[in-house]
Amino acid sequence: MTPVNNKSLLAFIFGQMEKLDAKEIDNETAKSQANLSKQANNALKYELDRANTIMKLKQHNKENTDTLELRNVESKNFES
Amino acid sequence: MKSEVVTHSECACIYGHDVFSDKCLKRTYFILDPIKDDYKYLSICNELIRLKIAKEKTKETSYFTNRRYYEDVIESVILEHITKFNYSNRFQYSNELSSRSVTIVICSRPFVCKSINLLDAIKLYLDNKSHTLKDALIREIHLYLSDIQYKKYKTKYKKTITLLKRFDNKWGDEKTLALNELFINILELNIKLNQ
Repeated sequence: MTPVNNKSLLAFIFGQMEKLDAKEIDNETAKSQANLSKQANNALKYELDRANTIMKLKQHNKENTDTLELRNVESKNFES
Repeated sequence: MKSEVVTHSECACIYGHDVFSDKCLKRTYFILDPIKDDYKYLSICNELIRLKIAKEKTKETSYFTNRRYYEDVIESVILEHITKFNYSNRFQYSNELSSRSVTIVICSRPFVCKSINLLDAIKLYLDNKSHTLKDALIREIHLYLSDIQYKKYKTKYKKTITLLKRFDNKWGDEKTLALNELFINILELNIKLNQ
């Protein structure tokens, strides 16, 4: 597992583009790598949306003295 | 838009003796720092420019016109006042996106224009969020996609162009994510092209 941020993801995509131009990788590999980077980008998008929602919830709770909480799906145990 | 007046600290006036003296006549140029996205007025001692041009003329370099001496001298002074980076003089055109370069006009009069490698420009953009670099990047990607070979794949091409057009409407981290998405689409276009 390697940690990913925007810069490293872009560097990875450019690396794949260069490898594809130099015929170092075939089309299928490039396709699967593109799909993987798409998923990584979606994960980053999800993180951003989550951060936005948490911020909005905090604001809402502050304004309305409410105790709304975001259900933490990631840390929840698997239910049988 | 903030634009401060910066004075070049060298002076060559005989009676002025100082760049801040009233007798020191100056020429002012409107310059742009592309990395920090900062516009400023740069004033340089007129006498200093004249001497630098005279010095340049003694060198064994051949120019077509006298104007080039002036432009080169001003360029060398301007480069001291913008963020240091390995700018290149030439615009690089290639079929590979990574070896292309983006061109930015640093001063319009005299015309000083510098190029930055596209990969470096993206890194700088992610670090500094400069609007100038962003505009140059968009322009370059438009140019890259205008190649006839990409227009064969209509759906993917249109999607990429739409992403490029929407890029300006996004803010903050959404913008960098949109940049990722854009390059993934370009990679997919390249894959289609290699099939």
